Amino acid sequence: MTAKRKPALVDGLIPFAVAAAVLGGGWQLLSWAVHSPALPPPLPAVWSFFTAFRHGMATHLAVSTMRVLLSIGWAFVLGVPLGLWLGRQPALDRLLAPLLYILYPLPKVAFLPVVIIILGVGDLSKVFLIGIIVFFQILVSARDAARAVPSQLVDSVRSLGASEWDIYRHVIIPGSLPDIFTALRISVGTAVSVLFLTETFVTERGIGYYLIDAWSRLAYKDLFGGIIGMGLLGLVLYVILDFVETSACPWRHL
Amino acid sequence: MQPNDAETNAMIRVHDLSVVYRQEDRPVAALDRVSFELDRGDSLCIIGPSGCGKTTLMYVLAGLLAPTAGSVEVGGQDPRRGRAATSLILQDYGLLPWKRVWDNVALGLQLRHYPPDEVARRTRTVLETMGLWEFRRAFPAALSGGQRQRVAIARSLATAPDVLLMDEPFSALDALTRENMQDLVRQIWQHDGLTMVLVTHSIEEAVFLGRHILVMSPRPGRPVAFIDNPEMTMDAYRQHPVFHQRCSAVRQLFYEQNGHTRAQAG
Ligand SMILES: Nc1ncnc2c1ncn2[C@@H]1O[C@H](COP(=O)(O)OP(=O)(O)OP(=O)(O)O)[C@@H](O)[C@H]1O
Ligand SMILES: [Mg+2]
Repeated sequence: MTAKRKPALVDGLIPFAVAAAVLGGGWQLLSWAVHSPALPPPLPAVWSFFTAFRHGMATHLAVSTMRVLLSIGWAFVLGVPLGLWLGRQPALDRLLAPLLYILYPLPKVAFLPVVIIILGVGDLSKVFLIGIIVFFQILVSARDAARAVPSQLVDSVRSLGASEWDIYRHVIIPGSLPDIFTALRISVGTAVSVLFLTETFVTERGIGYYLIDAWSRLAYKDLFGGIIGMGLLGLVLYVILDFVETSACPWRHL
Repeated sequence: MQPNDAETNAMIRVHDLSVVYRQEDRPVAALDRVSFELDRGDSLCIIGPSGCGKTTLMYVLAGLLAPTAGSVEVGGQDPRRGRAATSLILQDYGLLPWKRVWDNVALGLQLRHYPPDEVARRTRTVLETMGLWEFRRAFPAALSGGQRQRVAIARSLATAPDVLLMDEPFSALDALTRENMQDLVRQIWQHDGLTMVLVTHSIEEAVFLGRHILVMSPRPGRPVAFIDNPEMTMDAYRQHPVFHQRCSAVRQLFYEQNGHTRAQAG
């Protein structure tokens, strides 16, 4: 419990340095090999990221971040309680399983045109579409996690006089937390990919739009500057998630 | 303890208890007309082949499972109504991995809505008596098997129960730790005047901790023998010739039953 794994700041930064070196090195080699304006070397791209960041890309990134957070947010708020509850209602779960398994793998992106007709071209349709995809991932993970909590833990806490809500609070929720964090990590990846797609349609804001715009102008340095921005968006979200997970699940990090 | 006898001092009364599980619409009989009574402050050890319904019986006594037929009373009431003074320790401890020792032990008190300062006071007392105070901030995963078992016992004692139900509490421990824990439980039982029911696979454990020993048949479990063991309160009972005689007697009965098991399984 104590005297174990308390990384100093420097130790914590080493993995990021490794990531930068591997990605930068690989990128550099590849751009030498391809030798085309379509794949600029990393340093000019990083440079263009910083200049673009000061000239408008920051707003695009902020808009995109907000869309991702709102989408994951509503999916989480609905998906986790519903999933945990389903996991403890075997009869209802059996009833709803086919419905869930039809809806879950369905490529919801294909419904983008319909969603746009119903919800408009604004943020609402994007947040809805990203959220609904992530929602099913979170729902299914939360349900499976709740199901996997050993029944003996439930029984022993019940024998201490626990109500149904106590069981959720002391057993089901903490027992499912690690899996829910895994689901969230996967969701971040999914959300960022879907975000890109939704932002290539009728919009003029967001990092996806920024990329497509750079592409259509054949501004490859801007394009890769934008890709760096999108990568950083994912990185920041993952780092935040890891940090929250470590403080929320201390028993997993003995 | 007497089979089928209406005594006034009985803390636990089990009459013609049968439990049938439904598994994919196929009935699985786990217990078949089990009857016994156990006096207040008495102790009963239950041994029987694997799958004969011992855990099922503990679940019924703890009120976690309804009998299919028959009746059960603990402290004069139906355990299904939730009896605060019954404590249950399950086969694999049932400690919550995500709670520190202190929180695990305090949980029973919190769930029963004791005021916070009372929770703190009682938790501290029981942790200190069990020699666990210095581990109060540890997670169960960071403890040895013996320490974890102490925590499980501490948690069930924190609410000051009068009935203690234990399902193979020491099966995961090494021989020495196991004897230590048996000594501890016997001390607590004598000191606190608990009524104790303990399920075990170990004949020595049954003879050391049970003033009465109930031998069960293979599934569906029926009582096939009740053995009185009044000498178990003697000091250094493990070294006493009576202890060894009793172990042999129980072993003989037990293996008559195991013969049945093999015949049925084979
Ligand atoms: N939830 C359940 N659903 C269906 N059958 C069950 C259930 N729980 C137990 N059983 C069956 O009931 C019988 C008795 O189970 P129980 O766990 O009470 O046995 P046990 O005596 O405690 O065994 P062991 O010594 O191995 O712990 C077993 O045959 C088991 O398969
Ligand atoms: Mg059992």
